[in-house]
Amino acid sequence: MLKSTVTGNYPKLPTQKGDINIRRMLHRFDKAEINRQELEQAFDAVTGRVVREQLESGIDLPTDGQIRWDDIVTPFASQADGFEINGLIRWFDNNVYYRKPAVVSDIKWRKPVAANAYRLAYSQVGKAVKVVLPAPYSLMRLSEDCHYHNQDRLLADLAALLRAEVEALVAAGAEHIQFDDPCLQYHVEDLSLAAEALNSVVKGFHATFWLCFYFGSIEKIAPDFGMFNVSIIAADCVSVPANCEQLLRFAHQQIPCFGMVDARNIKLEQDDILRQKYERISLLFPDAYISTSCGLEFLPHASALEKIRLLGRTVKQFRGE
Amino acid sequence: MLDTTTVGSFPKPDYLQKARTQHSVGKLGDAELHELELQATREVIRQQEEVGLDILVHGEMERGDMTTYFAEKLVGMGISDLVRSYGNRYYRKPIVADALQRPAPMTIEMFKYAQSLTEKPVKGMLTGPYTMCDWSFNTYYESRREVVLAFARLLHDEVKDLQSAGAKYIQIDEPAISTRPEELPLAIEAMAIVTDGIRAKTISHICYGDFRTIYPLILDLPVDQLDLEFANSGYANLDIFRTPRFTKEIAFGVLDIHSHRIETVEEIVSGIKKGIDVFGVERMTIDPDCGLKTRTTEESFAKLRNMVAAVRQVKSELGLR
Repeated sequence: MLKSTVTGNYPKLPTQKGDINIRRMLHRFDKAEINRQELEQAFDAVTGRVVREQLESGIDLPTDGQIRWDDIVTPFASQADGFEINGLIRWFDNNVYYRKPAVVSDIKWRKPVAANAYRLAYSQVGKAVKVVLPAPYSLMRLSEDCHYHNQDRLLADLAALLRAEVEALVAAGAEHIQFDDPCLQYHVEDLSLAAEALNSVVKGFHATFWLCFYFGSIEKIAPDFGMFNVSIIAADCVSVPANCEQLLRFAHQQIPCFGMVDARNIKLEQDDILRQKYERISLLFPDAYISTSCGLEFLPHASALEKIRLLGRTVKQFRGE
Repeated sequence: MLDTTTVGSFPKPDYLQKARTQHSVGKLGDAELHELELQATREVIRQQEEVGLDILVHGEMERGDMTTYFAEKLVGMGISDLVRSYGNRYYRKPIVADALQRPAPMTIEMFKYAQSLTEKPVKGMLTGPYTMCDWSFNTYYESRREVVLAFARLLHDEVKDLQSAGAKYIQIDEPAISTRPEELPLAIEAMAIVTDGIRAKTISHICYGDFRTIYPLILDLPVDQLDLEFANSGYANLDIFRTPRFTKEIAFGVLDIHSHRIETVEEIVSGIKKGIDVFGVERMTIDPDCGLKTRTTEESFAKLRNMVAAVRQVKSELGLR
């Protein structure tokens, strides 16, 4: 049966007046009006709200919403040895920016970054929550190498950092761990390198590992999906509609996840159009996932909520629930 | 030759920030807010004259955001709730919800007012059609191309009105233009509509993108001058423009507007000399990387004072007046 999930982040600010407003809390923290503990409590409360909101909207597999993160790379770079965080760079083709990490010395993992948010999210709902990490290849591409000057060594150390993170997550009980690799679509010449690095991260761990692509075309990656030792391959089928065909054609060694609901525009998809797509997918892949095309933080909260309600409702209806 | 200017926005004084907040909740009327916007404009024109800039801007005291301002003036547009841009910064994203129309000129009154305050030229300031599209949600038009060209047609009317109002310099910002290199021909086609038949000097500001992906095709953008950032990257992106030869005038960004640090005269002099090496002194105007609204007034003018001093030093060394 088809299942629904989301891709990663979720709007941090609420629509509902009276709900905790992280933007305001961060301003108050900057002005020393609240202390670190109060800020952390606010992050925890918002994480709980967004996980519950996803489940109440009918999403089968939610994420923790990445409420503490500005993006998927700087949390890992800022908590490890070897990085400095530099100037703003555009996040792919979006009007969204991230601070590019610079590798300035040997990389070394210091402490878990994602495990606490996972534990908190799981404790709120008592159901599986998907954790999202950067794939080692994209973590490398989204950083600037000012130290190694050797791609193989840099990638190996980034893979080791992420392997330590996975170990902490698995120990915390995480069952679904997704690696986002949006850069690989633009550097398919490095496909083997990226697969080798990711495979070294997941080797020997018992969890359901996902590999997720968004924004670009997977045309040149799809024939080699089998190189990746992951259980599920997810792709954005809105930015590049042809990605849907690529998943249908090539995702035979893994379960595919189709990013069908546009997470970058507020226009709502029509139920019947989605249903037609689900019918086609389920013929070939009855256990496929349907998801948003990418993280939902490109939308204001009210629109993101409408999108996940649409996604949850249409998948449930398709299952006859 | 080596004229000094700024990119557009200046920080709003505290009294105006407070007034905007009061206005947004209905505690201050339109007329009262407008009077304070005029007061802030008078101050920023005087401050620019005091610091010794050659080409002034009106400071955008009446604008909250470079796209939202126009969205509020155009028929067919709405405004979304807050969407995150980076870190803890959010903006209200415009929505193209119906056929676009310009019911009245949008920037002429403030341009005329600012120009009436000074003998120095004041730039007319607009956001370009490609960026207006790229930074808006679209729920009405069938394609991005339709949206971009609809914006281009109405912005052409605005540019004609600015020229008729006496603007010698008209800046049409396109910070999103490097977002999707495959759409650069569309952005060029749209700018050709905007600047068709215009005699005033036309400028386009582009920032926070990967210039490698749009150079040299960006030289086909039908404007006289490109305004680009260089300080933010430590001038590392200069090499991109060595080959083939840069054929337009350049406004050369020497102040990192996302840093609180005040660049020293010496490092700005060094940056300008690097620019001269690539672009030649005859075609250069000197300015910050981007609008200054994210800095404090004190930081902004401390940076600009050093910029003007650096330009004077370089001119002196080169024997220029």
